[in-house]
Amino acid sequence: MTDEGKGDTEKWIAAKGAKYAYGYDKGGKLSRYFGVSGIPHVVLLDANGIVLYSGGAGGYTDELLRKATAGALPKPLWEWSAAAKNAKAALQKQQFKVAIDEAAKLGEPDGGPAIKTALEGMVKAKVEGMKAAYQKGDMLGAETASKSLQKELAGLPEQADAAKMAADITANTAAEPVLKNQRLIAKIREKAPTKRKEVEAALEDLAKIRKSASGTYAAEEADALTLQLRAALNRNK
Amino acid sequence: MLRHSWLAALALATTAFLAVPAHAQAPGSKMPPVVLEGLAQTGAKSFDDFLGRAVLIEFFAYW
Repeated sequence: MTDEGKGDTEKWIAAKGAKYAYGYDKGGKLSRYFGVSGIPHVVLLDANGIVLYSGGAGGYTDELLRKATAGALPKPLWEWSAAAKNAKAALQKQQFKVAIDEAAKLGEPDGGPAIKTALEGMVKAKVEGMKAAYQKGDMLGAETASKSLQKELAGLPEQADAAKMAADITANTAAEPVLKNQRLIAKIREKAPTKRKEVEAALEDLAKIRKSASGTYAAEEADALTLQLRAALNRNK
Repeated sequence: MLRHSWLAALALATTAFLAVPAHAQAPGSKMPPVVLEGLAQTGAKSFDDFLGRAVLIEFFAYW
Protein backbone atom coordinates (compact mmCIF):
# COMPACT_ATOMS: atom_id res chain seq x y z
CA MET A 1 0.00 0.00 0.00
CA THR A 2 1.27 3.43 -0.75
CA ASP A 3 2.13 5.93 1.97
CA GLU A 4 -0.71 8.12 0.82
CA GLY A 5 -3.16 5.22 0.96
CA LYS A 6 -1.95 4.25 4.43
CA GLY A 7 -2.59 7.75 5.68
CA ASP A 8 -6.10 7.69 4.25
CA THR A 9 -6.76 4.30 5.81
CA GLU A 10 -5.67 5.50 9.25
CA LYS A 11 -8.02 8.47 8.95
CA TRP A 12 -10.82 6.15 7.88
CA ILE A 13 -10.20 3.78 10.81
CA ALA A 14 -10.28 6.72 13.25
CA ALA A 15 -13.37 8.25 11.69
CA LYS A 16 -15.28 4.96 11.77
CA GLY A 17 -14.15 4.15 15.28
CA ALA A 18 -13.18 0.65 14.11
CA LYS A 19 -11.96 -1.47 17.03
CA TYR A 20 -10.82 -4.59 15.21
CA ALA A 21 -7.24 -5.66 14.68
CA TYR A 22 -5.86 -4.55 11.34
CA GLY A 23 -2.65 -4.43 9.35
CA TYR A 24 -1.25 -3.67 5.92
CA ASP A 25 -0.68 -6.16 3.15
CA LYS A 26 2.46 -4.54 1.79
CA GLY A 27 2.63 -4.71 -1.98
CA GLY A 28 -0.57 -6.73 -2.06
CA LYS A 29 1.42 -9.98 -1.78
CA LEU A 30 -1.20 -11.76 0.28
CA SER A 31 -4.00 -10.41 -1.92
CA ARG A 32 -2.33 -11.94 -4.94
CA TYR A 33 -1.67 -15.18 -3.10
CA PHE A 34 -5.39 -15.56 -2.41
CA GLY A 35 -6.47 -14.23 -5.78
CA VAL A 36 -8.47 -11.41 -4.26
CA SER A 37 -10.51 -9.89 -7.08
CA GLY A 38 -13.16 -8.07 -5.06
CA ILE A 39 -13.47 -6.42 -1.68
CA PRO A 40 -14.35 -7.43 0.97
CA HIS A 41 -12.64 -10.80 0.60
CA VAL A 42 -12.43 -13.18 3.54
CA VAL A 43 -9.94 -15.93 4.37
CA LEU A 44 -10.59 -18.35 7.22
CA LEU A 45 -7.67 -20.25 8.75
CA ASP A 46 -7.76 -23.06 11.27
CA ALA A 47 -5.40 -23.32 14.22
CA ASN A 48 -2.75 -24.97 12.05
CA GLY A 49 -2.82 -22.26 9.42
CA ILE A 50 -4.79 -24.33 6.93
CA VAL A 51 -7.04 -22.32 4.64
CA LEU A 52 -10.65 -23.42 5.18
CA TYR A 53 -12.27 -20.69 3.12
CA SER A 54 -11.25 -17.96 0.72
CA GLY A 55 -13.89 -15.87 -1.00
CA GLY A 56 -16.65 -13.36 -0.57
CA ALA A 57 -17.55 -12.12 2.89
CA GLY A 58 -20.87 -13.95 2.99
CA GLY A 59 -19.63 -17.28 1.70
CA TYR A 60 -18.37 -19.03 4.81
CA THR A 61 -20.64 -21.03 7.05
CA ASP A 62 -21.08 -21.59 10.78
CA GLU A 63 -19.92 -25.15 10.16
CA LEU A 64 -16.60 -23.87 8.79
CA LEU A 65 -16.25 -21.55 11.77
CA ARG A 66 -16.79 -24.48 14.12
CA LYS A 67 -14.18 -26.48 12.20
CA ALA A 68 -11.73 -23.57 12.35
CA THR A 69 -12.10 -23.08 16.08
CA ALA A 70 -12.03 -26.77 17.00
CA GLY A 71 -8.79 -27.32 18.89
CA ALA A 72 -7.73 -23.69 18.60
CA LEU A 73 -5.92 -22.07 21.51
CA PRO A 74 -8.42 -20.49 23.89
CA LYS A 75 -6.07 -17.55 24.42
CA PRO A 76 -3.67 -15.98 21.92
CA LEU A 77 0.04 -16.35 22.63
CA TRP A 78 0.44 -12.73 23.72
CA GLU A 79 -2.04 -13.29 26.55
CA TRP A 80 -0.33 -16.36 27.99
CA SER A 81 0.97 -15.91 31.51
CA ALA A 82 4.69 -15.52 32.12
CA ALA A 83 4.65 -18.99 33.69
CA ALA A 84 3.73 -20.45 30.29
CA LYS A 85 6.83 -19.09 28.56
CA ASN A 86 8.41 -22.54 28.08
CA ALA A 87 5.25 -23.98 26.53
CA LYS A 88 4.98 -20.91 24.32
CA ALA A 89 8.60 -21.12 23.18
CA ALA A 90 8.21 -24.81 22.35
CA LEU A 91 5.04 -24.17 20.37
CA GLN A 92 6.73 -21.41 18.40
CA LYS A 93 9.47 -23.90 17.54
CA GLN A 94 6.77 -26.43 16.58
CA GLN A 95 8.01 -28.84 19.24
CA PHE A 96 4.68 -30.25 20.33
CA LYS A 97 5.93 -32.89 22.77
CA VAL A 98 7.84 -30.27 24.75
CA ALA A 99 4.97 -27.79 24.53
CA ILE A 100 2.45 -30.36 25.82
CA ASP A 101 4.78 -31.46 28.63
CA GLU A 102 5.34 -27.83 29.66
CA ALA A 103 1.61 -27.10 29.56
CA ALA A 104 1.02 -30.13 31.80
CA LYS A 105 3.18 -28.50 34.45
CA LEU A 106 0.97 -25.41 34.55
CA GLY A 107 -1.96 -25.06 36.88
CA GLU A 108 -5.47 -23.84 36.17
CA PRO A 109 -4.68 -20.15 36.90
CA ASP A 110 -2.06 -20.17 34.14
CA GLY A 111 -4.39 -21.92 31.71
CA GLY A 112 -2.37 -25.15 31.72
CA PRO A 113 -5.18 -27.68 31.21
CA ALA A 114 -6.81 -25.60 28.46
CA ILE A 115 -3.49 -25.05 26.69
CA LYS A 116 -2.62 -28.76 26.92
CA THR A 117 -6.01 -29.76 25.51
CA ALA A 118 -5.68 -27.26 22.68
CA LEU A 119 -2.16 -28.44 21.81
CA GLU A 120 -3.34 -32.05 21.73
CA GLY A 121 -6.19 -30.92 19.48
CA MET A 122 -3.70 -29.24 17.14
CA VAL A 123 -1.68 -32.45 16.94
CA LYS A 124 -4.79 -34.47 16.18
CA ALA A 125 -5.88 -32.00 13.50
CA LYS A 126 -2.44 -32.07 11.89
CA VAL A 127 -2.45 -35.86 11.64
CA GLU A 128 -6.03 -35.96 10.38
CA GLY A 129 -5.20 -33.30 7.80
CA MET A 130 -2.26 -35.36 6.54
CA LYS A 131 -4.39 -38.50 6.28
CA ALA A 132 -7.21 -36.61 4.58
CA ALA A 133 -4.76 -35.28 1.99
CA TYR A 134 -3.63 -38.82 1.18
CA GLN A 135 -7.21 -40.09 1.02
CA LYS A 136 -8.22 -37.49 -1.54
CA GLY A 137 -5.10 -38.21 -3.60
CA ASP A 138 -3.18 -35.07 -2.67
CA MET A 139 0.16 -36.86 -2.55
CA LEU A 140 2.23 -33.69 -2.37
CA GLY A 141 0.16 -32.37 0.52
CA ALA A 142 0.46 -35.69 2.33
CA GLU A 143 4.19 -35.94 1.66
CA THR A 144 4.86 -32.37 2.80
CA ALA A 145 2.81 -32.87 5.96
CA SER A 146 4.49 -36.20 6.65
CA LYS A 147 7.97 -34.66 6.48
CA SER A 148 7.16 -31.73 8.73
CA LEU A 149 5.15 -33.81 11.22
CA GLN A 150 7.94 -36.31 11.69
CA LYS A 151 9.91 -33.40 13.16
CA GLU A 152 7.10 -31.49 14.88
CA LEU A 153 5.66 -34.57 16.62
CA ALA A 154 8.99 -36.06 17.71
CA GLY A 155 8.47 -37.98 20.94
CA LEU A 156 4.70 -38.23 20.55
CA PRO A 157 2.91 -41.44 19.51
CA GLU A 158 1.48 -39.58 16.50
CA GLN A 159 4.97 -39.31 15.02
CA ALA A 160 4.54 -42.94 13.98
CA ASP A 161 1.51 -41.92 11.87
CA ALA A 162 3.67 -39.42 10.01
CA ALA A 163 6.41 -41.99 9.43
CA LYS A 164 3.86 -44.55 8.23
CA MET A 165 2.48 -41.99 5.80
CA ALA A 166 5.92 -41.50 4.26
CA ALA A 167 6.26 -45.28 3.88
CA ASP A 168 2.78 -45.59 2.37
CA ILE A 169 3.53 -42.92 -0.22
CA THR A 170 6.81 -44.60 -1.15
CA ALA A 171 5.10 -47.99 -1.47
CA ASN A 172 2.26 -46.59 -3.56
CA THR A 173 3.44 -46.82 -7.19
CA ALA A 174 0.53 -44.67 -8.32
CA ALA A 175 1.75 -41.82 -6.10
CA GLU A 176 4.96 -41.09 -8.00
CA PRO A 177 3.46 -39.67 -11.22
CA VAL A 178 0.93 -37.67 -9.19
CA LEU A 179 3.74 -36.20 -7.10
CA LYS A 180 5.71 -35.34 -10.23
CA ASN A 181 2.77 -33.48 -11.76
CA GLN A 182 1.87 -31.75 -8.48
CA ARG A 183 5.43 -30.47 -8.22
CA LEU A 184 5.20 -29.08 -11.75
CA ILE A 185 1.95 -27.31 -10.83
CA ALA A 186 3.54 -25.98 -7.64
CA LYS A 187 6.37 -24.52 -9.72
CA ILE A 188 3.88 -22.72 -11.94
CA ARG A 189 2.18 -21.32 -8.83
CA GLU A 190 5.51 -20.20 -7.40
CA LYS A 191 6.38 -18.37 -10.60
CA ALA A 192 3.08 -16.49 -10.20
CA PRO A 193 2.80 -15.61 -13.90
CA THR A 194 1.28 -12.20 -14.48
CA LYS A 195 2.36 -11.21 -18.00
CA ARG A 196 0.16 -12.44 -20.82
CA LYS A 197 2.91 -14.50 -22.50
CA GLU A 198 3.87 -16.09 -19.18
CA VAL A 199 0.25 -16.95 -18.42
CA GLU A 200 -0.26 -18.43 -21.89
CA ALA A 201 2.88 -20.55 -21.52
CA ALA A 202 1.68 -21.73 -18.11
CA LEU A 203 -1.70 -22.67 -19.62
CA GLU A 204 0.07 -24.80 -22.24
CA ASP A 205 2.04 -26.60 -19.54
CA LEU A 206 -1.12 -27.15 -17.53
CA ALA A 207 -2.92 -28.57 -20.56
CA LYS A 208 -0.18 -31.22 -20.88
CA ILE A 209 -0.45 -32.04 -17.19
CA ARG A 210 -4.24 -32.27 -17.35
CA LYS A 211 -3.92 -34.73 -20.23
CA SER A 212 -1.24 -36.92 -18.69
CA ALA A 213 -2.65 -36.84 -15.16
CA SER A 214 -6.30 -37.37 -16.05
CA GLY A 215 -8.33 -38.77 -13.18
CA THR A 216 -5.83 -37.83 -10.49
CA TYR A 217 -5.68 -35.06 -7.90
CA ALA A 218 -2.96 -33.41 -9.99
CA ALA A 219 -5.46 -33.04 -12.83
CA GLU A 220 -7.91 -31.39 -10.42
CA GLU A 221 -5.21 -28.96 -9.35
CA ALA A 222 -4.30 -28.29 -12.96
CA ASP A 223 -7.98 -27.67 -13.79
CA ALA A 224 -8.36 -25.23 -10.90
CA LEU A 225 -5.24 -23.29 -11.81
CA THR A 226 -6.22 -23.26 -15.48
CA LEU A 227 -9.54 -21.64 -14.58
CA GLN A 228 -7.79 -19.02 -12.46
CA LEU A 229 -5.30 -18.17 -15.18
CA ARG A 230 -7.98 -17.95 -17.86
CA ALA A 231 -10.05 -15.70 -15.62
CA ALA A 232 -6.99 -13.51 -15.07
CA LEU A 233 -6.44 -13.27 -18.82
CA ASN A 234 -10.08 -12.36 -19.43
CA ARG A 235 -10.01 -9.64 -16.78
CA ASN A 236 -6.99 -8.07 -18.41
CA LYS A 237 -8.14 -8.10 -22.04
CA MET B 1 -22.36 -15.37 12.58
CA LEU B 2 -20.90 -17.37 15.43
CA ARG B 3 -18.65 -15.56 17.85
CA HIS B 4 -15.89 -17.56 19.50
CA SER B 5 -13.12 -16.52 21.84
CA TRP B 6 -11.02 -19.02 19.84
CA LEU B 7 -11.39 -16.93 16.69
CA ALA B 8 -9.14 -13.97 15.95
CA ALA B 9 -10.41 -11.45 13.43
CA LEU B 10 -7.89 -9.49 11.43
CA ALA B 11 -8.64 -6.91 8.78
CA LEU B 12 -6.01 -6.33 6.12
CA ALA B 13 -5.86 -3.10 4.19
CA THR B 14 -4.91 -3.83 0.63
CA THR B 15 -4.07 -1.89 -2.48
CA ALA B 16 -6.87 -0.05 -4.19
CA PHE B 17 -6.10 -1.69 -7.52
CA LEU B 18 -5.84 -5.43 -7.40
CA ALA B 19 -3.26 -7.10 -9.57
CA VAL B 20 -3.84 -10.17 -11.66
CA PRO B 21 -4.65 -13.04 -9.30
CA ALA B 22 -2.83 -15.70 -11.22
CA HIS B 23 -2.23 -18.21 -8.46
CA ALA B 24 -5.12 -18.08 -6.02
CA GLN B 25 -4.85 -20.65 -3.27
CA ALA B 26 -7.62 -23.13 -2.71
CA PRO B 27 -9.04 -24.32 0.61
CA GLY B 28 -6.86 -27.01 2.13
CA SER B 29 -3.63 -25.21 1.33
CA LYS B 30 -1.23 -24.03 4.01
CA MET B 31 -1.00 -20.34 4.77
CA PRO B 32 2.35 -19.00 3.48
CA PRO B 33 4.74 -17.02 5.66
CA VAL B 34 3.13 -13.63 6.13
CA VAL B 35 4.79 -10.29 6.67
CA LEU B 36 2.35 -7.55 7.63
CA GLU B 37 3.03 -3.92 8.32
CA GLY B 38 1.46 -1.71 10.91
CA LEU B 39 -0.40 -4.32 12.95
CA ALA B 40 -2.66 -2.30 15.22
CA GLN B 41 -5.37 -2.75 17.84
CA THR B 42 -4.01 -6.18 18.77
CA GLY B 43 -1.39 -7.56 21.15
CA ALA B 44 0.18 -9.44 18.24
CA LYS B 45 3.53 -8.12 17.10
CA SER B 46 3.53 -10.16 13.92
CA PHE B 47 1.27 -12.58 12.12
CA ASP B 48 3.21 -15.45 13.71
CA ASP B 49 1.69 -14.46 17.05
CA PHE B 50 -1.64 -15.80 15.81
CA LEU B 51 -0.14 -19.31 15.85
CA GLY B 52 -2.63 -21.83 17.21
CA ARG B 53 -5.60 -19.53 16.73
CA ALA B 54 -8.35 -19.72 14.19
CA VAL B 55 -8.06 -16.52 12.16
CA LEU B 56 -10.62 -14.73 10.04
CA ILE B 57 -8.87 -12.31 7.68
CA GLU B 58 -10.85 -9.70 5.84
CA PHE B 59 -9.22 -7.79 3.00
CA PHE B 60 -10.60 -4.29 2.86
CA ALA B 61 -9.91 -0.86 1.48
CA TYR B 62 -11.01 2.43 2.97
CA TRP B 63 -12.79 3.59 -0.18
